[in-house]
Amino acid sequence: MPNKSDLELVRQVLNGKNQAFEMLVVKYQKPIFNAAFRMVQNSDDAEEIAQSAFVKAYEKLSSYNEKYKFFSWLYRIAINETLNFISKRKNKDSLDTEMVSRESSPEDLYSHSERSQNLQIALGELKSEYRAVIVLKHLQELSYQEISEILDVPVKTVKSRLFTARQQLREVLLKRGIQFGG
Amino acid sequence: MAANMIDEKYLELIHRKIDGDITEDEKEQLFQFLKANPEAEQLYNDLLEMSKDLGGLEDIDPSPNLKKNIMNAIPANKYVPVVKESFWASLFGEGFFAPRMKMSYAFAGGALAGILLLMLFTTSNQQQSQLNLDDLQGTMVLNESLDDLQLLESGEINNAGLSGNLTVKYSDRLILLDLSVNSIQSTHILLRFPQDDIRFRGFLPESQSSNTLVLNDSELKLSHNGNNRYAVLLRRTENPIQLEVLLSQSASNLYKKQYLIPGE
Repeated sequence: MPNKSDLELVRQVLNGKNQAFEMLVVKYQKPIFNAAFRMVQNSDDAEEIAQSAFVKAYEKLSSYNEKYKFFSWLYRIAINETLNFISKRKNKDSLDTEMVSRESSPEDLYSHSERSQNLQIALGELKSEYRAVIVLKHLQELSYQEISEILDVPVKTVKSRLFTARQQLREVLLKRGIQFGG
Repeated sequence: MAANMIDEKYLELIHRKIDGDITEDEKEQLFQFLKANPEAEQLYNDLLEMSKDLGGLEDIDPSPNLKKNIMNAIPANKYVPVVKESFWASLFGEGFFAPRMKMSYAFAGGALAGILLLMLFTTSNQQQSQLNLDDLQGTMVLNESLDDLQLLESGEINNAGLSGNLTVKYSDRLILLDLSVNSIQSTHILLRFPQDDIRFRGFLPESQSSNTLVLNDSELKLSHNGNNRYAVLLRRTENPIQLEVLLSQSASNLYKKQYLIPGE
C-alpha cells in the first residue's frame, strides 16, 4: 500500500485492515517518540508514552474527525499522554531529583554536543506547558495553527505561551552560563 | 534591559520575526527599534540563536521494538470487516438486482453500504445537530419518497438508565426506524428481522458516533453510548413482516418491542 494518504489508511483501519494502522505507526512513531522524549527526557518513558498514544489513537479512531489533519489529532493524544505522565511523575519525584538523575543517565548519550545537551536540560526546567510549545514549534516545526489544534487552545494562547517559554528558556541558559552565538 | 523592560509591542515583534510571522513594515520598525536599543538587540540575537539551536537538535530513533510493541498492544479485532471486498463487486453485478439473488449477498452489500454510510456521516457531518432524513434519502437510490411512509407506531422508551423514542414507518417497499436513545451506560441495540424479507438500505446517526455497525442475515447490531438518534432504512418484500427491537445493558434486556408490519 504505497503512498496512501493518512485518511485512506484511517478508513482502511476502520474497515478492519490493521496493516494500514501499522503503516501509520511506521510513519509517525519517530516524531511522536521524539516529541515525548524532548519533554520527558528519558527514552524508556518516551517509548511507553508513544506506545500508549498509538494504542489510544487506535481505540478512538472511529471518533477521529476528518476535518482535522490526522497527525494533529495523533499529536494531541501524544501530548496529552506526555503531560499526564509528567504530572504523575511530579507527584512522585521533585524536579531537582529528576535533573540530578537525568544528568548522569544514558539519555545524555543522545546529545551530540554540549550545547544540545544544555538545551535539553534547560528545557526540562520549564513548566510542561511551555516545554510542549517549544517542542512542537522548534523541534517538530509545526505552525501556530497546528499547535493550537494539538493543544486545543486558541492561536493567541499558543503565541503567548511560546513567547514566554522562549524567554524563560533563555534565562535558564544564561543562568547556567551558556553563551549564545558561540 | 531585561525582557520585561522592553515595550510589549517590540517584544512581540521580536518573537514574530523569529517565527517568520512579520510584515515588511513591522520588520523595518523592529530593526529601527533594535538599532537604538542594544539590550533589546541582544535579546533578539539570543532568542534567534537559541531557536536555531533548538531546530538543530537531532531526532533520535526509537527502539526497533516500538512498532512491534504497539501492534501487539492494540486490540486486534476492534474493527472487524463485516463483509469481504469480493461482495463489493456483487453490489454492481447483475446478480445484485436479480430477483432471486442470494440474500447473503444482499445483506453483505447492504452491510458494506451501511459501514460506508456510517463512516460518511460520522466523519463529514460531525457538526450536524439535526437528523435530516433527506440526507439518508440522498445517499440511497430510492424510487420512493420517505414522505410517503405511513406511521405504524411511535412510542417512548422509559427505563432506569435508558430513555428515548422509537418510531416505525413503512410503505409496501420500505421500513424506516427512527430511534432516539439516551443512556448513561453503554447500550447494545439489536434489530432482528426475517432474513428472507428484508434488505438493509441505509443507516444514519444524528451525531458523531464511535460505534461500528454490525450486520448479518437477520440482525443489525449497534453499540451505543450517551445520547444519539439513528435512522435505519430497510427494503422489504410485500409480505407482512415481524421486527423486533431489543435494547440491553450489561447483558440485561431493558427494552423489547415487536412490530408486525402489514403487507399489501
